Formats: sequence, C-alpha cells, structure tokens
Amino acid sequence: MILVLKNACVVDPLQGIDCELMDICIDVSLGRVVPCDRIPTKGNVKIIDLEGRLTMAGGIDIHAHVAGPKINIARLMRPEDHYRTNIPAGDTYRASCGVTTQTVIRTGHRYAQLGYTLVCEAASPPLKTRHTHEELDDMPIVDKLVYILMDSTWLGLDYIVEGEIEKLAAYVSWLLKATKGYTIKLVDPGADIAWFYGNGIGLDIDDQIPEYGLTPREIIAAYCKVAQLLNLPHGVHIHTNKLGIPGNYRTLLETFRTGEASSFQDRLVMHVTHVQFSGYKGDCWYNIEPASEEIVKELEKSPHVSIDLGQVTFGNTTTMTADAPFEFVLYHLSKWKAVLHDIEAETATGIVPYTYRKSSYVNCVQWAIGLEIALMLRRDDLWRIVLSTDHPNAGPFTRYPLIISWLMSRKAREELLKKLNQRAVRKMILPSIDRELDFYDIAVITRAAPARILGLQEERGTLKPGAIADVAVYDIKPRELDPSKEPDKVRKALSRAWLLIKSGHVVVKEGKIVQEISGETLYVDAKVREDLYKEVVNEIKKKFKTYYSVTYKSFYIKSYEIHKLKNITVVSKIT
Amino acid sequence: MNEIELTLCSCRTISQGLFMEYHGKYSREYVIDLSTVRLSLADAQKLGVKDGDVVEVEGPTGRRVKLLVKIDPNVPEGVAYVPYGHVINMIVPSETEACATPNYKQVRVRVRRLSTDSVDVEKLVEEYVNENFLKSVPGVGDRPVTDGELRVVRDVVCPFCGLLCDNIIVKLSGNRIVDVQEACVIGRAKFVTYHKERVLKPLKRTESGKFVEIDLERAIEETVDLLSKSKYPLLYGWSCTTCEAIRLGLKIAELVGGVVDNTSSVCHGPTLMAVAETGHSDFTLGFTMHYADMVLVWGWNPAHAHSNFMYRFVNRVGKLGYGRKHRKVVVIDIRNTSPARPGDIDIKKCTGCDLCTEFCPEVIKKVTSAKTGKIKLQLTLYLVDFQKCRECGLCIDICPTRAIQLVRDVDEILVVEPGKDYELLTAIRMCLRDLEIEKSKIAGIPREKVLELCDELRRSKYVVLFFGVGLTHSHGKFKNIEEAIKLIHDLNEHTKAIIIAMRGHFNVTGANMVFLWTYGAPFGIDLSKRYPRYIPGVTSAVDILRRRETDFMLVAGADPACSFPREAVEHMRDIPVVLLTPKLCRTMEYADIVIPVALTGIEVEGTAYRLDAIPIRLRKIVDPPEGVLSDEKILEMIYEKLRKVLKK
Repeated sequence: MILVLKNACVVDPLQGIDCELMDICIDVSLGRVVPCDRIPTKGNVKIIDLEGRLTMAGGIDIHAHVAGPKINIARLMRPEDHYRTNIPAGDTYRASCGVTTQTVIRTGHRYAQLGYTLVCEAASPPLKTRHTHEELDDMPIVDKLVYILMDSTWLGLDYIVEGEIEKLAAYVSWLLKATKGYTIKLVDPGADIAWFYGNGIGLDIDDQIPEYGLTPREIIAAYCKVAQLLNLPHGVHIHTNKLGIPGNYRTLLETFRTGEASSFQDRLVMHVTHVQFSGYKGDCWYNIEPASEEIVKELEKSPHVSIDLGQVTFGNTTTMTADAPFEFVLYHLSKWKAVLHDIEAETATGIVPYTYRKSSYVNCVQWAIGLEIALMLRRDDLWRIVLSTDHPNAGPFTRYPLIISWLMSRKAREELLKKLNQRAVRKMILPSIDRELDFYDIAVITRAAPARILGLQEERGTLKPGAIADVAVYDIKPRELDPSKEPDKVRKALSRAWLLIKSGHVVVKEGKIVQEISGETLYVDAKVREDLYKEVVNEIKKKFKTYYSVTYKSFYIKSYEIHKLKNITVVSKIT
Repeated sequence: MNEIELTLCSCRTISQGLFMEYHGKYSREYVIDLSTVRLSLADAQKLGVKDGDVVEVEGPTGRRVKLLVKIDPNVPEGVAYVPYGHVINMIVPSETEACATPNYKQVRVRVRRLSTDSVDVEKLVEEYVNENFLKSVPGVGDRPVTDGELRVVRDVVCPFCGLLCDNIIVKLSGNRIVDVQEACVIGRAKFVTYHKERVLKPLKRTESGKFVEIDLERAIEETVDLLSKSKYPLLYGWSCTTCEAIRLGLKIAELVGGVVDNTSSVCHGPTLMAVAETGHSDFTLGFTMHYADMVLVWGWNPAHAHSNFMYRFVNRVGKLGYGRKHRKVVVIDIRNTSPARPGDIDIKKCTGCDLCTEFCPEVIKKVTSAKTGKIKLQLTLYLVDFQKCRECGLCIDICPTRAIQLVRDVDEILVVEPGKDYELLTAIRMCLRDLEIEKSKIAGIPREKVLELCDELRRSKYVVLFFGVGLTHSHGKFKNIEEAIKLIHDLNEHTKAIIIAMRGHFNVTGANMVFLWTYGAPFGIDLSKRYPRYIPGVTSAVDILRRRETDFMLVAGADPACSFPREAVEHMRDIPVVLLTPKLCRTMEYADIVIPVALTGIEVEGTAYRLDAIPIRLRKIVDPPEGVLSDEKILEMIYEKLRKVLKK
C-alpha cells in the first residue's frame, strides 16, 4: 500500500528543504519513503491531507537514560514519581506511569507523541547490557541503540597500559559484538577505578588513576584512535572528567583538544555529551559562572568534535550517571537518598533525586549555559550540536518542546528570566542575545545533526526517497504562525504530534497512540583482521576467569535474544 | 514444667533444601525435617524432653501444631527453630503489618510437652506427608529417561538459588544426568533428580475431589474461562521461571485487571521498600573476591541458604591476589550459625554408611587406598578435598553417628538477641559518629565488642555487608534494612562500604526487574483499575488471600501452599486455582487445574537475574518430555486465547 501525505510543509535540512509545501509518499510494506512521480493514481493508495502542517523526519535523541539497570533501580527508589502519573491501559496501548523514571512503555509512548523515532540509551555497563536490551525490547514504537561503557573496563585498560592499540580495537570490536552495542561510551574516564577504592572525586584529565598509572587523557586518546581505526559510525561518546564541579570548563576544553590531537581522519571523532554540566567557570558553588563563550570559541576551532546540550529545565528530576563519585557528592548536597552501585571489572553508577530551582543561583547559571551555547554558535556549526536534557539528569525528555520554545522565542526567554535568581541573571550573556532559531535550525538540532553524528544520515533524520518512513507531523502551520511571538503554541504543538508514522505505520494520531509496534535495535559489527580477533578473544577468555564472577558464555549476548536486531557492518582499517 | 514460652524462628536449613530437591516435597525425609523443632539444651531440660519426643506448639492466634524435638547446641536459650515449610506455617500468623511479609520470625509461642504414648509419631508424619493426596493424583511420576550417548556440558547455569552459578559441569548419558560438578549439594540434587516426581499430563479436579487427566487445549480453555469470569484474579509466583514468561504474566494481569505478585512479597519485599526510602549502596558479587577485606554476614547463613557462596566469592583469590586469609569474616545472627567445614572424622564412630559421599561426592571421596585425593584426613575411609569444600556443613548435619568434627572458619560470631537487630545497627551507627553508648550490653552483646567492631569497620578498606531474611522477617522489617543501609552510607564517609541482599529463588530478582520496568513497582501490583497500583499490605498476595478478596488464583513458578501462612492458604481451597508446575508440589493439593511445564534451566532456556541483578541466560541441556511445553509457551497460549475471548 502507498500512503501519500499531501500538502506537507516539509523541513528537511539534510535535503536543504526549508518549509516547502510538497507531497511525501510512503510504501507501507517496505516502510520506506518513495519518490512521488511513480505513484499509481488508482489502486491501493491512501491519501492524508496535511493542509500545510509542519512535517519533519522522526526525531533522534542522541543521549538519554531510558533503559537498563540504572534506571530500573531508580524506578525502585522513586515510587513518589509514579503515584500521580498513572495512565490506564487503553484499547490500543498498555498501562504506564512515571515522569522522570518512566516505565519503558511510557517512554516509548512519550517519545512517539513528541515525534521521536530513535532513542540512544546513553550508558550501559557491558555485564548488564542483556538487561538493557530486555528493557529496550519491551519499549514500544521507537528504534533504539545502546552505548557501551568502556572507560574503566579492566580488560580495556590492560591493553592501554601495554600500548596495544590494535588489540584494544579488536577488544572494542568484540565487546560491541558481545553486547550488541553501538559505540564506545566514556564516563569520567578512569574515575570509577578510583571509586572502587572510595576515591575519585574531582579526578582531572591529567591526574593519575590508581592501579594503572594512566591519565584520563591517555584513555580518551586511545579510544579516539580505536574509533577511527574501526571506522565506527559514531565517534567516542564522552562525558568529561570533573563533571559538575565548578571550574571544569578547562577540563572540557582539554578534552576537545585531546580529540583534535588524536584525530587522523576528516570526520567527527568525538561527541562530548551534556556539555552544560562541564561548562562552569569559578572555583566554588558561590562564584560559579557560565563558560559558554569559551566553549563556543573552542568548538568553532575543533571541527572534529560534536556536542549535545544537556539543557537544564526547572523542576524535580532523578539524576543518574556512571560517574559514581560525582553522584556521591550530589548525595551530600541533596541529603535525601542515593543509590550507589558498582559493577565488577567495569564501572560504577549512582542515582540521586534532585530538584532544579528557579531561586537557586547555581541552577539558574546551569540553565543559561545550554541555551547560550545553542544561540551563540554560527549557523553552520549547529550541525554539530544536538538538543538533549541528558534525560532524566537535567530534566525529562518530555520537556524538549519547552526548550525549543525558549530557543525559538526571545519573548519566552525574557518571561522566564524575570522569575529567575537575579544574581545569576546578571552573570549571563543570555539576556543580551537576540537570536531566535527557526524551524530549519530546530530540525537540524533534533533530526539532521544527530542522524549525521550517528552516521545514519542515509536512512534517518531525512525524508528523501529511500529513507526509513519515520515522519512526524505537528499541528502548526509554519507559514501562518510566528514562533517568536507565540511560543506557547509551538510548545503545545510539539508536545503532541498530530501524526507520527513509524516505518510506514501510523502510530500516533492527534496526540493519541493508535498502535503499538516494536522498533528495531541497531548494533555495530566492526570487522577486524581474523587472526588478531581470535588472539584477543583467547586473551579475554583467559582473563575472564580472574576478572569476572560469571563465565564468558554467560556474558556474550546471542543475536536471537534480541527481538528485532539490525546490524551495521563496518570494515575497519585493521584488515 | 509442662509448658514454656519461647520465640519461634522459622529458618532455612541445608538438609531441608537438599531433601526437597533430592527426595521431593512429599518425601518422609523432607517432611520429618520440616516438622522438627530445634531447641536449646536448657529449654529441653525445662520441658523435660529429649531428641525424638513430640511437643505441641501454640501460635499467637491459637493454632497448634505437633513437632518432633531435636536438641541443637547452636540454638540460644529461649528460641525455637523450625525450618520453613507447610508444617510450621500452620501457626505462623498471617498479619503482615502493612509490609506484605508475615512475621516468620520472632513469633511468641507456647511449647507444651506431650506424653509419648498419646502421640503416634508415624501417624503424625503420615499426616504431614499427606500420602492420601498422592494416591489420588494420576499422571505423576518419573519422566522416562534412557541411557545413551555420553556427553559433558560445560558452563551450565544452576536454576536453584539466587547465586545462579554458571560454571556447572553436567555429565549426561542419553537424557539421564549422571554427574554434576562445581554445584553445591542442593544444586547437584536438583540436576540429578530432574526427572523424578514430574507432572506430565494436564490435570483437572473433579467434583469428587480426584484429579483426572485432560488434554492441554481443554486445560487452557478452562483456565481462560475462569480468568475471564473472575472479578479480582491473583497471579502469583514468577520467581522460578524466566523473564520471558514473567512478561506474559504481566500482560495477562493487565488484560483481566488482576493483581500480580511475586515471591519477594514474602521474602525480601521489606528490602525493596527500604531501598525506596533510603536508596542503597551495592555491587556485583565479583568485587568480594577482588577487594573485600571485611565481610559482615547478618541474618543470613551462607552455608545453608547459598552454599556455593563462600567457595565462589569469599575463598577465591581475586585480581589483587587477596584470598580468604586477607578477609575477616564476622557473622551476626541470633544463633550460632556460620559456614562450617568438616574436620577430623572419628574412625571409632564412623559406620561407613556413605551418606556423606552420596550427597557430596565431589568433596568427600571414599577410597580403598590412600593414593588419591589431595589432603588426607581419613586415610582408611574418606578423603575430604578442602579446596572444593563449600563449608555448608551438610556432612556434619546428616551424619547419623555425628562422627565428623565441626570446624568453623569465621573470625567472629556475634549472637544477637532475637528482634534486636535494629538496636545493634543503631548502636554501630552511634559509635561511627563518636556518640557515647551508656548501656553496657547492646542486644545481648557487650559494649566493648560493639566498639571493637566499629573500629574494625572504620579501619577496613572494603566492607561488605551481606544480609538475608533474618532482617526482613523479624520485627521492624523494612526499618531494619533502612537502618542497615544508613549504616553503610555512614561508613562510606570513612571507607568503601557495600550492602547487598541475598535473594532466594533463582529468578526472584528478575521478577522484580520485569515488574519494575513494566509497571514501576517491584511486587504486589494491582491492575484492577487498568493502571498499576502498588500498596504493600493491601495489594500483596498474603493480604489478599487473608482477607479472602480474590476469586481466582493462577500460580506459576512458586509453591505458595508451602510458603504462605496457613490462614492465607485456606482461602485457596475455596477458589479456583490454576497451577503451572514442572514437579509435584504442595500447591497441587489446592489446585483445580494443573498444567505441566518444562523445567526452566534444564529443559528450556531463558533469562534470569542473579541476586546482584546480573542477567544470565539459563541453558537447555535436555529436551522436555513429550507434550510438555515451557511456562512461556503456555502463558502465551493463555494470553492469545484470552484476548480473543475478551474482544468478543
């Protein structure tokens, strides 16, 4: 069957289309967009008239903690997050609950309602990635992929100490295959090794890590090289050292430079995530200031680095990260409850509930950083930034439309600025920024840029013929509405998609879930030289017996365990 | 004295677990173990009873049960110990104090001596075994196994306790399991007797109360019929099955608007409630062997509950080269229990009955010459391989002549007064904050000891606190755990400290995980309003049964008739019960429809979660018997059929 979306007001930056009225044709059985010139006029054709509504490709969330061991313990720890948010089951959808620690079903529903069709689980410890995949399998509608935590894995660090970059590459290739992961995730590199001894708070990029004698910079450089050697579609995904600690912007800039120094190809090698948390000037909480200007300048000089914002929104949330030492600090700031969890030979994690307050000086400074970076960057450089809240750390992803309304309207920002801590407002550049993003820019930072950064721009983030038919239609007409003057309308329209098509199936109609389908899970199969791979696997098997309390067989996730698995095969430089 | 008042604690023993798996739930050995009360010598003298006598125990609700006496030197005065099971549950009160978990421990009971001629012990045991019931069940028996090709399967996962040992070596001949290595005695028994006492045909209870065989399709149809007509169904169990099956169970519950609960509501439910209050600080067990230098064991006996634990984690040498010698093991419990290994075997007492080698052939070997074996203890008869000893103490327990000497390998045992764990935890927290303690004895332990322990905790580099249902089943329940977690949070200011709950069933953690990611709560979820509600004490299985609210029950992956207080179980007799079970179990007495399923982890594969929430794939080593499907398949059939029926 062919589905024709007539009179769509299309915004598709990957094709350079900006608010043009056109038709989009979808082959439902293939689940792909097809050219409209060859559509038969008779037969099995269904036409939906969009009457000039805003139409974009399905959104991509490049960094969110939506499934896995961490979020599941957070669900256990936060029953108060569930009590008042119950959604009863309907005829077409299942029951769900939660705001910051949502059940997987709710996560799938809410992403679909926002018009998002691909979500990247930000951090999964290798040993428990089977759990992450089990949850993702239960998440309806959206497609998904998983980043694998590698910064403190003993097996990996051993190779870095030995200086065996090729073997490290083979290990990464094995690990991605064994856990069905997408790319390398580094979280506060090396800090978890120190955390196993109860230390590691504020570990900087050139500090030494106990046991191994390495510095985080060496770890970052090694993995950046590996990502290039393996031709991974998405570069190393980094959460910087000293995250959340005043004065950490220098560490962030050094991380950018490390990425630049270790790049030997003309492509993105490094994605620094939730950059807002690493953009603080000052030396204590009292005199913390936004460092957005320095970050923007350095980013313009670093063409191989991409970022996502980690924009703070006000309200209650649950912070969770593999940066356990920092969560320990945060526990002392909030003094309520905390989960700390260590995973053998690999990583650690922490979960602390937290509330961002408009009256708090620090929280207001944090709020400004993300917006300032997005608004101060040149238009070309917007292709290297992605909208995110590091869900749920800086706020749940359901607040994306709110952030978009701030980015698109100075009026919206000014209204909020009046209510904020005024000492913080005086430190911001934001009040002096006139710039307002348009729908094209928004489509860049929510669709085109993440698709390109993930290396999926051929199939996702665009509506060109041949792409996967993920189409989001919102109930606003860009040709009639001025987002700068009516930010509330934009926010409301983006919160509930008027129509969402996932792989050719209509799943959301006027904001309601009409069908629950299951999405696919993407993973990277990076091929390396056969003999090297075998040698490394043998070494891993030997070390497994000392390092882990499970067997090699229990660790390896077989393809049939995952519901709808799709591999992306890349041929590495090590052949 | 004819009557005294004691504190009853039901607990787990290694022999109970072993006999359950080896002989079955309807065996004399198992039932005798369940109906034996362990008393201290002093209490026995007060009552004037000796080993083998019968006493009557009266619970707080006035219910009575007759039990056999065994004098145990490890039991402190004033306490009566009985293994968990359907016998002692006759008098356990079903009140849950809004925690979903009844008080299985610290129940005040009156113990009365009965004159020996007034009770026929044989009859008593027969009554507890309920042999009459067995006779009324057709289609139960051993699954046919045939010898054939010899093969060895490595890295098999043991589907018994929460440890999910995944390095088991199983030797098969055809589809008969002939030998098992690396497993504990219970795990070994589970594998070796997998074919025994199986339910092989779907059964239905007729009006006369007898079971008749029916075909699977009809069993499913009737189940669907009952489910769709029920107003408030309860779906219970889920801890001895795969996560795939649990997901389907939740789907069914949502469809019919029922309550779905797993076995953690009667074991570690309070732990999960405490985590919701304070968070926690835990790890995956592998760190024990790498870093731990202080191992605290609280309200849990590793030897009896997770027999492979000491062998796999505490005694093992980790990455830094630390072994058992680098670790201090402190046991805190209300009786003198701890890992125990066999010492010398008294040649004069040993009769050579081979009971010890029968259950533990990997460690204790009978030899005719002294050439084999590593360490020679008993040159003429038996050799004990200490490196493989799990320290479960089974050989010492079951030796009929008590010929094996007991050696405890722990550094310290602190015996707490029953119900005073909270007091001791608070005292340690006070010491950590340098607050003065005025009492000279805290929970029966001298103040100096507490101060000493606190100092050691502070000095240690990596403290691990393992706790079990000793804390969750006693008074205070989740408040005990909360205090323990706070103690660990406090300790984290000084050093590195970890707390972890030792879970029972092999996939109880998995059940919590699936419940959490689907409905945001770990157990006891009510879906009658089509959205999840989680109110422990209201929407939990024991409470619903006790208040007689439910009108239908589906049981999969559990044996509630064995583990619930009798007051709650009695309601099961009045309502239709559908049971999915691979083996003969006590809930069958209450079931109206029994559907046989394949043994998870031996006949079918699937995912289960270790007690530290590491997901492990269970393996299939033999084909299921003909016509017997997995839980997952059965539940899927029920779900699909139910959907069609409800759509109409």
